[in-house]
Amino acid sequence: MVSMARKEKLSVPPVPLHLLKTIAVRRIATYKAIVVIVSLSTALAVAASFVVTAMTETMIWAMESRVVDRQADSGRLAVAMVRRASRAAFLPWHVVSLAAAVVALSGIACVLSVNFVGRKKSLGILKTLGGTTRDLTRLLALEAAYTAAFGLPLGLLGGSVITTAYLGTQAVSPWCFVVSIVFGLLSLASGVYLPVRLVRNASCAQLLLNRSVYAFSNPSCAQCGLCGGF
Amino acid sequence: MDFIRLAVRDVRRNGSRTGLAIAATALATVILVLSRLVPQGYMKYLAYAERSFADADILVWSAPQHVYSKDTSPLEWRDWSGEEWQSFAGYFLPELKSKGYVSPVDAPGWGPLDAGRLSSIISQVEGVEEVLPYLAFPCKVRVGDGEYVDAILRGREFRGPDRPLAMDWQVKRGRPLGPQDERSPNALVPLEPEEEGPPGAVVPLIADVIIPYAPHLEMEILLPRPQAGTAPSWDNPVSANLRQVGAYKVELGVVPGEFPDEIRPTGYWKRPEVIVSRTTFLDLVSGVLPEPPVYQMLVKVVRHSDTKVIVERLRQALGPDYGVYAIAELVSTSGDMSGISLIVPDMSSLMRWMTITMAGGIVAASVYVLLALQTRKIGLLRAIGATSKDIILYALSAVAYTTLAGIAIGFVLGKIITLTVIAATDFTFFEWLKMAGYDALLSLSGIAIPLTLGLAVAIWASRIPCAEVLRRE
Amino acid sequence: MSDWLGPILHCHEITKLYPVADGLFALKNVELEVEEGQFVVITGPSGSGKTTLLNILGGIDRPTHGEVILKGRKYSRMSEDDLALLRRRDLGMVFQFFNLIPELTAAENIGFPMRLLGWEERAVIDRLTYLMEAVGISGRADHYPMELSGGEQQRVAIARALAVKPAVVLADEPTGNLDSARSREIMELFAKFNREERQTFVVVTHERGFEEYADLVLRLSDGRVAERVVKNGQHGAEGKTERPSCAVTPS
Repeated sequence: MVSMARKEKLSVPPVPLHLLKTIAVRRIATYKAIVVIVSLSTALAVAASFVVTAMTETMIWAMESRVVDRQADSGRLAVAMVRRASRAAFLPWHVVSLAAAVVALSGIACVLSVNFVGRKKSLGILKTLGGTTRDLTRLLALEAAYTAAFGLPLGLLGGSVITTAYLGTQAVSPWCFVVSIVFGLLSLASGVYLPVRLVRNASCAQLLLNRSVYAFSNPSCAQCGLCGGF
Repeated sequence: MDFIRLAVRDVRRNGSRTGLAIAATALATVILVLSRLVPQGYMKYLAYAERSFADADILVWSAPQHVYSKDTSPLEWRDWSGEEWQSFAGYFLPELKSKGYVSPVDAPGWGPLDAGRLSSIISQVEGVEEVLPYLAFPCKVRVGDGEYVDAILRGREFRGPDRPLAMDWQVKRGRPLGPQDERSPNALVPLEPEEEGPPGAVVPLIADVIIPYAPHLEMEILLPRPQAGTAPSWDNPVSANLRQVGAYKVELGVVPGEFPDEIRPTGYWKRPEVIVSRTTFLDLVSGVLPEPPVYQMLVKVVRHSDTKVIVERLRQALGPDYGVYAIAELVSTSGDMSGISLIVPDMSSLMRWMTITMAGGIVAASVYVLLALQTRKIGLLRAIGATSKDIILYALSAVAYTTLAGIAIGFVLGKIITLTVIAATDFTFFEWLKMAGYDALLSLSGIAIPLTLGLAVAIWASRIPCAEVLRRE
Repeated sequence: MSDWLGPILHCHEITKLYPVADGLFALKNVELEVEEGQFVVITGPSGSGKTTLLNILGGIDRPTHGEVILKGRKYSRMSEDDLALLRRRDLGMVFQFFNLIPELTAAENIGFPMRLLGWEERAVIDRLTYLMEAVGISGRADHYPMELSGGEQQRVAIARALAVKPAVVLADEPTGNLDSARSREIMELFAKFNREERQTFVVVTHERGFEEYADLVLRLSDGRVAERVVKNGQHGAEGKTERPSCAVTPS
C-alpha cells in the first residue's frame, strides 16, 4: 500500500466555502485600511477607464454625427474617414486609463502583499489543519472580491459623475460600463496576482516559522537577493 | 532632523526594495523631459529634399481645411478638384484625387488664393522667414516632330547655394540658375532618374516625363490659353523658347554635404517641372494671363525646430478656410491622413502629469512596503519616545529621498538623450541649457504628487503602535 | 480506534542538516516507533532538536535524510497538497504559541477540522460540546482568540487537535507559555484523553512533570537520541541508542 500511496493522486476536497467566507469577511472587517485602499484603487481604475471610454466614444460619435447626408454614398464614405481618423486621434487618451490602472495595480499589489506578510501565520495554521494551496488561494481571492464589491460601484459612480460634469447629460453607451468593469477587474486581478504567487510558493515551514517567501519557485529567485522575500 | 537622516539611511540600506520606485520615477522624469522636446519641431534634415525642391517648410492651400474636434459644425464629403500643376497636394496626399476628403460644409472648396492678402498676413506671423506664392502653369514641351509632353512651368527664385532651402545641390547636370538668369530664357529640366551603369552609359528607369537634356539645347514650350469657368484650352496655345542650362533630380532621403555620398535615395519625386526664374515666368505667363493664379503659398520658417508651433500660429492667423501643412508632417505620416485633417485637443500635458502620478503611486506603494516590513523598527522608535510628527517626518523623508533620487537619475538621463537629439536639430547649446533649467524646475515640482500620496502612507506609519515591537516571535 | 496494526508512527533515520550553532546537524539518525495509544514524551535541553523533530513529524518541515511513516504512508517527501489530507484526518497539532485562527471564535476553531471533513452538523455540535466541556471552556465558546487568556487559548488548541480523533496528536511545548497551575491542568487533560479515548500523543517538552504520564520518554541531546526510557522499567544504556528492528509494515 505504501508504493500505491506514493503514486496515487489523492483528490483533496476543498475547504467548504462558507468557512472561507467567514474567515475572509471577518478579516477584512478588522483591517479596514486594506478595504479602503483596495476599493479606492479599483475605483480609480474603473472610474478612469469609464471616463476615458465615455469621452472618446462620445467625441467619436459627435464627430460622426456632424457628417450630413449620412445615408448617401458620399456621406457613408465621409463617416468612415471621420471614424478612422477619430479613433486614431483619440487613442492616446486611453493612456490615461492605462496609467490609472498601473497606479491601482501597484497599490493593490503592495497592500495585499504586505497583508500577506501579516497573515503568514494564519495561513500556515490553515495549512496545518489541512488546507491546500488552492484553498488558500481561494481565501485570498474571496477577500479581494469582497473589497472589490465596494470599489466597482464606487468607481462607476465616480466615473459617471465626472463624465456628466464634462459632457453634460448626454447618454453614455452601455459599452462604457462593460469596458470599465472589465478594466477594474483586470487591475484587481493583476494586483492580487503577487500574493497568490506567494501563497503558491509558500510551504508550511515558511508560513509558520516566518521564513521568507519568494514569488518564484525557481531557487535562483531566492538567491538573487534583490527583495529579501516576503 | 535625526529622523530625516535615519530615513535616508534606511532607504539606502534597503535600496533593492525601493529600486523599483526609483526606476519608475526616473522613467517618468525621462518621459517628462523628452516630451517637452519632441512636440516642438522636427529634425533638421527631415524631408530636406522635398523642402528644397518645394522651396518651403510649410504649404498653404485652400483645401483640405482642418477639422477641429471641439467644433460642432457639420461636415461633408467632397471631391477634390485640383490639378497637379496647381500645387503639391496631389503628391503629398496621393489619395486626395481618388478618394476625396471631408470638409466643413460651409468651407470653400479648392480654388485660387489671394496671394497678396495671404502674403501680408503670413509674413507677420512670428517665426516666418519668408512667404512666396507658388508660381506654376501648365505647359507642353516639344520633344520631337509634332511630339509634345505635358509638363509644368515653374518660376522660382535662385539666390545662390547658401540660401536656406536652395535647390542648387539637386542640379546634377549643367549648372543651377542664379540671379543672373532673371528675365532670361534659361531653364532647368527634370533629369530622369538613372540607374548606375558603366561610365558613359545612361540607363533610364521608367520616367513619367522624358525631356531630353543637353546643355544650351533650345526647347520649345506651349502655354494654354485660359478660359472662363473651365480648364485652359490648348486650341490656340502661346509658344515660347527656352534654353536648357541644367537638369535636376529630387532624391528623397539624401542630404547634401554633411552626409557621406554613399547614401542611396529612398525614392524620387518625379515632378515634371520646367524651372525658370520668377521674372521669366511672369513675363511668359503674362502673354496669356495678366496675373497667374496662385493655388499654393510657400512658407519658410526661421528655425526648423519651431515648425509645429509656427504651423499652429498660421492656422490661427489664417482662420478656418485654409489648410496649413508642414512638409515634414506630411512626409512623416506618409501622407496617410485618411481623408481628413483632424485636430484634437492636445493631451500631452495631461499625459505627462498622468505619468508622474503613476510614478508617484509606485513610489508611495514601495515606501509603504518598505515601512510595513519594518513595523518593528517603527514600534521601537515609538517606544524610545518618537512622536507622531517624528514618524510622519521619517516616512515623508523616505518618500522624498526615493523620489528625488529617481528624479535626479531620470533628469540626467533625459538631458543626455535630448543632447543627442538636439545635435540633429537647430537648437543652440545655450537654449538647451535654458530648457534644462526649466525642465529641472518642472521635474522637481513633480515631487509634489508622490509627497501627497506619501502623506497618507506617513500618517498610517505614525499610527503604528508600540506593541508592534513584540509582534515578531 | 483504528484498524491499523503495527506502529502508528515510525521515524527511520531522521536527519536534518542545518547550519546550527556549533555544529551542522539539528538531528542525526533519530529513530522512533510509536504504538497506538502510547503517550510519548520527547525531552532534552534547548537546541537539542526537539522542535525540529516535531516539525518533521508534523510534516511542516522536511528531513534531509530519512523517512517518516504514518499508518504505513511515507510522508516526508509528499507534496503539500497530498499532505493536506493527512493533516485533516490523521494529524492533530498543538503548538507552543497556540496558533488559533484569529478570525474564528473558540467554538468555530474547534469545529473547523470536523467541518473540513464534512461531518454532519449534528455530530459536530455533539463532539464540540463534549470537548469544550472536557477542556473546560464552555463558557467562552463565542470569544475570539484575542479575547482569551493564554491558558484558555491552549485549551482551545488542544480541543481542536483532538476534534476528529486523529491518529496522532503532536504537541510542541504545550505548557511553555503557562504558569504551573495551568500546566498541570493541561497535563491532566492529555492524560485523560490518552486514557479515555486511547489517543496517541507525542509531546515535546522540557517540563519534567510530563514524564510521569509517559509510556515512552525519548531524551535528545545535540540532535541524537541520548536515552530511551520505556515505562515498564526497561532502560536503554546512556549514549547508546536502541534501534528496534523495524521494517515498514505493509498494510
